[in-house]
Amino acid sequence: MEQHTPVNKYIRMVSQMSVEKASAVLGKLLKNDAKIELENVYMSDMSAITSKMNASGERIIGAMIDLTGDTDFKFLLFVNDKDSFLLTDLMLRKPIGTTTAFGPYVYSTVKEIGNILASAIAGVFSVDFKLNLKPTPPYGMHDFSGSIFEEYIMNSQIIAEEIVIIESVFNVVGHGLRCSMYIIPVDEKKVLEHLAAI
Amino acid sequence: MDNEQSRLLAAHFQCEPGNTVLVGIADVRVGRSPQVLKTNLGSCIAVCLYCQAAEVGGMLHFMLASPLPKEREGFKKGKYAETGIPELITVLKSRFGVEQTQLTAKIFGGASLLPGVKHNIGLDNEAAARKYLREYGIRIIASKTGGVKGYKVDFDLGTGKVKCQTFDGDIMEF
Repeated sequence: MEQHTPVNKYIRMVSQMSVEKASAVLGKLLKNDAKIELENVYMSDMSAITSKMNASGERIIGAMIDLTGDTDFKFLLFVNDKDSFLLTDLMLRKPIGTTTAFGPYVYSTVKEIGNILASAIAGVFSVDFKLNLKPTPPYGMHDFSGSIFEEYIMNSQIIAEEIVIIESVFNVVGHGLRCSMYIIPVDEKKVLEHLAAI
Repeated sequence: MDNEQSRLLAAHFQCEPGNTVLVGIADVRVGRSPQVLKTNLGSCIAVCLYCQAAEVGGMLHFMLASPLPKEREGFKKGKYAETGIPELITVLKSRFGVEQTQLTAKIFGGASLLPGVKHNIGLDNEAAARKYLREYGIRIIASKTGGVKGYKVDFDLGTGKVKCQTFDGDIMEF
């Protein structure tokens, strides 16, 4: 059962600005009418959020990135197998339908897009909120959605059981492509203290 | 039934439609035939306890072996093998009157999904599951652990059978 609690308005504001920046970067990158929308910012119990992900049972490709520096965030981008082929064609400027099987190009595409979006978000934190962050190289994973999400949550937060989740989706208009993007502040209190000080 | 038992019951009976109970990280869930407990795993371990005679069982999805020193109280017991395994036994006893001597165990998970990570949490988790089940005198009758890919696990409380599929692998029954 999902049990969501609203989060602080400053966290919501930071989330909105980060996602808008990532959206602009993605549109330029794919040279397409791509748009990332902030779906929800909420606080969830770790059991509830991982149960939700277990329900889908999808096979996905994910890129997990740490944003480290003044405080830490964990970033995850993922897309299901079928949509990853489409994303690869768009990224490599190939005719849609060219990529039909999973391989190194698909893997690299998802990791590269994850890297670019995470870097864009780190830029927003740095320029607009004076939070200096650097992205680590992406970890690429191809697995069940529930298994990847479990690793993401485990790496994000092993002490607190209530986690702030910034959940976004991006759609590429005309292609029905949908990706999911998550950002988790490892220490929400530290982020709020910093925002209050600027 | 005392307040503690009522609290445990309320917490552990959140069922999805169709008798499928989704089990997330740090969850302890119990049920009976014809329910199916379902989870996905990476480096976490699912401990499935079953009483054949009563056709009841439960699943713990724990993430680490033991609580960290600074986290000695006020945490979800299901996060750790050390606290989650006795919690699962307690809930099975309070809900169904099952003694731990009637239980058998099957364990799954403990993979290492992240390439290049030196410390293998999955291995630690598997060792912890075996250690604490041994301490409580519960025999492990089946297991599938380790590897570098995730697991999908369906625990049928009608039969006690577990369907386990690793990513890119076939569905196996235990």
